[in-house]
Amino acid sequence: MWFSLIGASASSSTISKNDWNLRPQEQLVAALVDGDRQAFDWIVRKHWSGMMRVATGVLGNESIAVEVVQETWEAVVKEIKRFRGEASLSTWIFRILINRARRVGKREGRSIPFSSFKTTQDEDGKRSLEDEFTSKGRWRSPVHGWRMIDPQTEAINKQGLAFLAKGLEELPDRQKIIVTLRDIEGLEAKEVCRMLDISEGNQRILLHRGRTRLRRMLEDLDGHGHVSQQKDSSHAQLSRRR
Amino acid sequence: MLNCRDVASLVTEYLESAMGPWRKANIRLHLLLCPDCRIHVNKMRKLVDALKQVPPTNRVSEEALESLHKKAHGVTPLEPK
Ligand SMILES: [Zn+2]
Repeated sequence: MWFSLIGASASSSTISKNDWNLRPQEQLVAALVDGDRQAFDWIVRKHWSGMMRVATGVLGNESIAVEVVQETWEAVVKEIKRFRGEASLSTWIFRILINRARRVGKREGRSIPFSSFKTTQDEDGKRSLEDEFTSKGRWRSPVHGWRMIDPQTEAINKQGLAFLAKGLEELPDRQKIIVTLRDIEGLEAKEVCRMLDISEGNQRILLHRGRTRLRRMLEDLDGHGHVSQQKDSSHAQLSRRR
Repeated sequence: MLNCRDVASLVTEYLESAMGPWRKANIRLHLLLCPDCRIHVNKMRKLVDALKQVPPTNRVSEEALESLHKKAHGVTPLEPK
């Protein structure tokens, strides 16, 4: 018993040696200052997808976004020795990215999201919250828990996660940026407001709309997955939602 | 008294703890009495948890990583033939 435990901990420590998530941020920063290739690769891989999504959201163009993300990493390597840890390293990296993306966007004459707070039809979604409620403000049909759930962990399962990844790409730009920074990258609300120069209230509205859209998308798919088992009820539910 | 629509529109504020004690108490009271909204809040919590685990939609290629590393550390990458 003990031997197997020791064996397990030994093998997990060799894994954690390469997983900087499990080590203090100062160690990662020190490794980056030293030009450690493995640390650099790890952090680039970790943030690449989120950075591409945010930069594309700001610039509306993927090929310019790639350039901005690459330049951001060059800047990170150059400036890392000046990083003092007032904010998290992720926050610091995304702040560099957003400043750059906005500067490039302005230069290219693009309209930058967040330069004005105006909601468009598209951002509110085709269906308003209203169709889910009666005139008295009660749920129109009973609320069901997620069906795409892993029975062991009770968390949303792999299939659900794959749908969410796809749904994220389809969010309107500002919602996409906020949901990525807050929910995917885990940045603090205050930091996100500061880097985008928006109020906490506006930040929360966009976060709420983004999450609501993702919820509805997942609910539509969630229903479909069980059509064969609950043909009548899920059909009725889907048609009510439409 | 809050209705279900109110609770649904306040759910992000509630999960972010970005509300005063009075409003929070009103939501808790509604949740105590309304199983539908309890399920809804729980679903939103699971959605937010799931977002932390979402697989990346865009991966950096090994070549891009290599050239990024060289560029960032001041090594000029070899000219492509
Ligand atoms: Zn309710």
